[in-house]
Amino acid sequence: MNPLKRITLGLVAILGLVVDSRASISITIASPNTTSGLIYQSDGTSLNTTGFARVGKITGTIDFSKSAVNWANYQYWNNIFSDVNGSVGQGSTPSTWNFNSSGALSGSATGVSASAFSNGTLLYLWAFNYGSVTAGTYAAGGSFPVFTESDFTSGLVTQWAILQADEWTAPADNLSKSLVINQITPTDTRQIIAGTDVGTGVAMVPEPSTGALMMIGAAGLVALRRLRKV
Amino acid sequence: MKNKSIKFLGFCLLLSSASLVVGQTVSTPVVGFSKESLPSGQHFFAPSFIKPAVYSGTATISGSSVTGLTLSGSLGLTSFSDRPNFPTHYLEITSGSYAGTYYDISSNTSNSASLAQTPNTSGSVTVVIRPHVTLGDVIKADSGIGEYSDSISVYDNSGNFASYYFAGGMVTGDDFATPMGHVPVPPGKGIGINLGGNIQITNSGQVRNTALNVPVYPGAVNVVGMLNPSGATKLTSLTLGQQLDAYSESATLYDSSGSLALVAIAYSDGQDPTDDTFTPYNSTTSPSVQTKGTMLVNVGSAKYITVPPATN
Repeated sequence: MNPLKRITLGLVAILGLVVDSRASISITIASPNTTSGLIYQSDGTSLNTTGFARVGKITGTIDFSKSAVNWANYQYWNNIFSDVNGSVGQGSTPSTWNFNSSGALSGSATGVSASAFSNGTLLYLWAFNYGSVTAGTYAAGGSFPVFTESDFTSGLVTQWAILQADEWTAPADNLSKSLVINQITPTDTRQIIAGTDVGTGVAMVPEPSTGALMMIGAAGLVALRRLRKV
Repeated sequence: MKNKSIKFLGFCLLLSSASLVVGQTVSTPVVGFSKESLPSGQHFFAPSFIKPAVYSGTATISGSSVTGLTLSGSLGLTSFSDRPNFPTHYLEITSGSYAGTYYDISSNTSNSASLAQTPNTSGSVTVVIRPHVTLGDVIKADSGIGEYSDSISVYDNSGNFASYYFAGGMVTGDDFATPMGHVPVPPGKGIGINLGGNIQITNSGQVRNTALNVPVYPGAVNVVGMLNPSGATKLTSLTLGQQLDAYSESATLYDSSGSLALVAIAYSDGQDPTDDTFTPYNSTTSPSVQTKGTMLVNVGSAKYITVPPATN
């Protein structure tokens, strides 16, 4: 076969493969049971059903110093975070990423673009203590950010957790992936970017003022104990 | 085969011994079982065994209705109220030019069945009716599959797929609670498996001794499995070259290491399977679909891919 014909036929073949570009993946998140893989409030109490989660990839270098909960840091993370469904319409079926009353997280996103989340892309969970997403209200193609500055200044969004596990990678085209909360390595600060391991799950980090008050309180208790000893 | 080891433990020998019974030649099916190790990573996998027939004989096809059968029990959809229902049995034509083509059974009486699709043939034919192999048959608790983490993908005819998991010792939906072990894996079709660790799939059943026509659809993820449980299948042993549209439709072969590394993309010149420069493969150069492996078939129009029998 002459080379020109081969090239022409090759182009025909490439065009014939357009179908493959429709490939999608599916992402599911799992808290295996009611006693492990849970997301807690910063004080260790159950998150219950009020909470919100985003699952996606992070583009660019992560600045680990921006883990504190505030509007500026939210904007930083929001700018580098691409949800598996939502902002660029990746998910044909929106996820419900819901918390149950124990703080167990569940949900699936199907029809996620395999080209936007190529095989091996690290996936992250960004969980909040505010917002309650139910099926149908979080439409594919919906806009982000889902929170506004007033959500922070008015004290609604006061805690979050940003998590990742080595196993949390996007699958190959036309396959599924389950992100299991228990797969997070508690001692790995690269995986618990914001949050605290509490054995049966991860507690969110509080907003700095709350955290500072808690530290002051703890310091006061220590001082009081010392005074009493004297 | 590098990282996928197969131990084909038995063509336990009810082998094709032909005997004369009341003047009729009876062929006993070959049965066996295999243990196949899948390393951690991502795979397309197709079970190659089939289940014993519940009916074999003549029947009359008219539209999507089939009469002249002798059946017992319900062979139609499952009838769960708390989970999606799926076909349980399929009818396969075993004579004439449509031999090897199969259709799901929607409902049945003691002597007839309604098919989910309308065959392209009618009149008197020979047929066989078998139960579907299901996800629960393929993925069992003793396989070592990771609960909550490992996933199974089952593909439909229009480019979508459903995800299933393993939790509480059973195949479940993506809520990790709804039992979904009854999802069928149609003959010749494969599933996707994403594994965090190694597993071993033990399958058993009858080995097909006739060719199978596997339906494939445009825009769908057509995972076509081979029927030979104990050896690789060269592309040149298929009729792929005549069945794929020349220079456009393709079959993609992956390795079985868990990385889904590309082995080959095969096209057709209208007669033979070719490589990506449209040079026809011969029996020496042809890549093989690995043992119990699959190929991803990309087509522009609905058609059948004929898969050769495991035993000739």
